[in-house]
Amino acid sequence: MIGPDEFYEWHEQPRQGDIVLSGISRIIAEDHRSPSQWESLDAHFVQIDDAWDDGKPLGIAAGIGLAMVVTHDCQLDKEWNQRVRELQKGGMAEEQAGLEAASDPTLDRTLVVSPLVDPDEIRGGRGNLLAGKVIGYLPVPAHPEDLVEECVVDLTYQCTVDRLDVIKVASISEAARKRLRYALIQLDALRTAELGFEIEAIVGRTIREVEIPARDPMAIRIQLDNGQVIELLQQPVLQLLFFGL
Amino acid sequence: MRSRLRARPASRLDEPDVSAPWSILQLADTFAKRESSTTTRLGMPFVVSDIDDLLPGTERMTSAVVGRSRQFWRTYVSSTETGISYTNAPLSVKEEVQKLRDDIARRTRLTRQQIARALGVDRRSLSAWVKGVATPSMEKLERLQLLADVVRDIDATGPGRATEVLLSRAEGQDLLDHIAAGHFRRPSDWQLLQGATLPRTVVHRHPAKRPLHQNALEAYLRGELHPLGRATTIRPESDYQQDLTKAERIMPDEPVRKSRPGYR
Repeated sequence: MIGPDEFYEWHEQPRQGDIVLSGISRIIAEDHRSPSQWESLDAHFVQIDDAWDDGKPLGIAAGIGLAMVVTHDCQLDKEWNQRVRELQKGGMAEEQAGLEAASDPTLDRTLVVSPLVDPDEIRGGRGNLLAGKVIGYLPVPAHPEDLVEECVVDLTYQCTVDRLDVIKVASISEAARKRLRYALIQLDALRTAELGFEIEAIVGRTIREVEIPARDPMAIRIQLDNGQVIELLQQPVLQLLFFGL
Repeated sequence: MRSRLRARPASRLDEPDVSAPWSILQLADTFAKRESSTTTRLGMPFVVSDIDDLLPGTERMTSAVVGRSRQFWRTYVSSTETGISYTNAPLSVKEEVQKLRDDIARRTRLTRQQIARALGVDRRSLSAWVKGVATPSMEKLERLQLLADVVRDIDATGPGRATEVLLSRAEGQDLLDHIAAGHFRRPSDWQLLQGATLPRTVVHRHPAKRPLHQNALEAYLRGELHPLGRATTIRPESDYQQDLTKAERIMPDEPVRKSRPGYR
């Protein structure tokens, strides 16, 4: 785990990786069961009777907690940028269009966040979790001003919240954001991070360099230590890895 | 022996004639051909060889209403096989409309114009249905049935309130207009439009240990932390467009020699 000085870095504007104080909720079954790591988040249970129209209730567990914004930066501004572009096409100056779009409270309202949880409440071992060895969890060091304890972001719990209803607590450095993106990719798309080692074992050589040609970003060129090159057609997920990191 | 059957759509306003978990189609004065020797006594099962044989007799019904009758015929056949009896005579569509209209009028002080408004038609159309000059569509017939059910539902919570409730305004229009606009999924929806909320249960659980967010929450309550809000972005969209020129510089796109053994 990287230290607090490398991990935390204040940025005024909303960014992926921001740590916020937010409401968090999830849909639950009638028995109100909470996995142990989420018990502290499930402070309130709300059951709407007959929500399904056939007598079946709808259950929601909700609470306040610390969470990390996992929405990518470009998604945070998407509607704002679209509105600015529309206004500019209509003849408005860029600065004025930006102010006009910023005054619209309906744009870019939602964020996806994942809660921060106590590693002692998660199976997998505190050491492994804080070392970043467990897929689905991102280690977070203690905040220098004690706003956040040493914990992990539980990326397996993602919740959509309104950005007007969250309190910004801290933001993180580029190095920490890269780790977050890699953890997200590992969880949702790339479980085979050892693919490179497997290729080396098969061909009996060491990979010296991997290239993705700019003109053909779906291709991967693997350069081996003897100068040979293997060209592969990558799956879209690998392209995500490349552009995300 | 030949019998004749007539059908009408079942009405949820009908007084139940049988002690069954559902309302069955009432039958009498049968005119459909029956090809079974099964007894015709009430309460005894009977068999219809082809359900479609029954339908031509549904005189003056639109195809939609015939379609609805078909469903109820099936309900009836199914139920009578279990020995359910029936007593009332069926109603034609115009009689059905009149019965529903009069029932609504009896339970409320709504004018015929107001009843028609809830169906999305004018008073003359409603009158024409009652006279049998015109036939309502399936949708209108169902809406009339819904209005009658809403009236009955309101009456159940407090007799005499129906007119006041139906003419009360919610979201810019009265409940009759809401019915006409198809905003009702079920008769009890008038309660939602009256500001009632769905019944709910709330349970609070106190955390066993100090929650992770406690320090941050206290800092927020002291005014040291602020909402994220909608801070104006300083990231123009071009920032997120792939810069191919830059990527080219980082990864020169040189010709590749495919030299893997066995590749050629």
